[in-house]
Amino acid sequence: MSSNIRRLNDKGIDVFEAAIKDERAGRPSIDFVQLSNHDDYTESISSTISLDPLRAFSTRYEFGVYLASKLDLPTITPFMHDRGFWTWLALLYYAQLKQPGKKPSKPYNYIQSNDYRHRPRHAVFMTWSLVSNYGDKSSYLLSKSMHVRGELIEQLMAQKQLLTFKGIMELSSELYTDEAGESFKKGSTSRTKKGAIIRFINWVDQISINYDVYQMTKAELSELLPSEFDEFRSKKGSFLGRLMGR
Amino acid sequence: MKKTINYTSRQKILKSEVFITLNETTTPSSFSASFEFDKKKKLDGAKIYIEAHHRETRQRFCFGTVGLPTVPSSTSLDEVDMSAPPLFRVLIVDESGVHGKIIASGDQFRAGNDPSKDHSSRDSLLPLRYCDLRSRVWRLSFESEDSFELQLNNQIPGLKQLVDANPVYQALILPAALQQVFLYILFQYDSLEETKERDYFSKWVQFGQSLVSTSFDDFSEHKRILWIDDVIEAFSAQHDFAKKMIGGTNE
Repeated sequence: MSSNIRRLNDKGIDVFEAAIKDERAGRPSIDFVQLSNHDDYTESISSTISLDPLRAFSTRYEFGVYLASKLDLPTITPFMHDRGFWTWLALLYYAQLKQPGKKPSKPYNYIQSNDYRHRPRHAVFMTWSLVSNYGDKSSYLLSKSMHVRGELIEQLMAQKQLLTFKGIMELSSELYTDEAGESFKKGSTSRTKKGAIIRFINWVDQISINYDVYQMTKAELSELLPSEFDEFRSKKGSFLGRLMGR
Repeated sequence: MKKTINYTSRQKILKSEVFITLNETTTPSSFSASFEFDKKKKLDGAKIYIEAHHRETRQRFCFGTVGLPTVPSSTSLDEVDMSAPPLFRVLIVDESGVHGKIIASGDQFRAGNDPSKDHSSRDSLLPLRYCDLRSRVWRLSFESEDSFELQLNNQIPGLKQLVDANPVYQALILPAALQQVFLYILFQYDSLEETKERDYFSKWVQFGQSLVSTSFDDFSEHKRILWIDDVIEAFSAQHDFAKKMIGGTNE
């Protein structure tokens, strides 16, 4: 089974949002599959790209790889900033993007928000952006189940310009990806540990005042990295983690 | 007297030194820029970069050096979210060392700031935009943290003229919009000092303080609400909204 990609119109976005709110309040909701194909609420876009709505993904990274392989840049460029497009994609995979048997998360996880504080939280747009820009270097940020956004991505993407700093994104991947290359190292999300991601973000803020970070490579940035990050530079995943493939 | 210490010796690029024009007739939109940097800043050999940005998107262009500006082969804004006019950041970077160092910068520049043209909202704290708001007459957009926007519904015939000239519309929209701005800003922070971290927010607080004599050291919720109320009252009095409304409705 496959679905040609579409976009939700304004009315469709409103219906989807109201349905999410109903589910969160424990009220009866709607048939989401029907909504994703309904001509009154969605519009066809001139593309032959089709997606398999029943395909199951074990992690957000796997989902991102699938999206990046299907949504080629020339085709989706006109829809890059179209919230109806990204919201339709979240609707298509809505059943997987919410925790099974639980209420959904806040609407902005599925409905692309206009509010700058909530935009990085969109489950599909951010996943696609990270994988299409950084490939396997983004795997540590997207290693959890489909319905989990993850603390690391929450902290990193709160600084909206970071996504455009290629060197910074590559360096953070090198520092925090575990040895198996599938998740992040223990302690990365700590709020108090030296060298954790929150300290990394502070460091980026600090050097951005003087250095042209946008143009700097991972190697150039690495030279400036303070010693408090040494533990993460060299730290391998735990023995147990390696044994279990984590 | 307020004292500022600049530890970085980075210089500030003023809006009067950079003129940006947005060309929305091309698809995608493009822009051009010209420069009149203050010679006292001695930036000659350094590179000029302009970054257009909106939301999480950003696109950078090199305009040569301060001593010898050039025009990039393309200034198409094809990587920037153009659902609203982008803001521009100007960077002067010294690339003579191992790492490029920012020696001067300026941010939140808007296109259309050429002083030879009339742009009444050039440095406006609350720029106006006309767009389709479906069933709403107006709304305040907090989409960008760099600049809020007062949006008016372009589906209502003549609304632009009404808001420009009719005191009834001004009285009903402007104080309410201002109140939303202050509520948004002052409830983001735990202290007044923290609002200074963002230049745009700080300008709003300064604007509010210019209208009322009271400042508040006590940042309690109650005090904040009272202060905002005072500011709205002073703003309304300054523009005589109630009186003008009586006059307007009697006409």
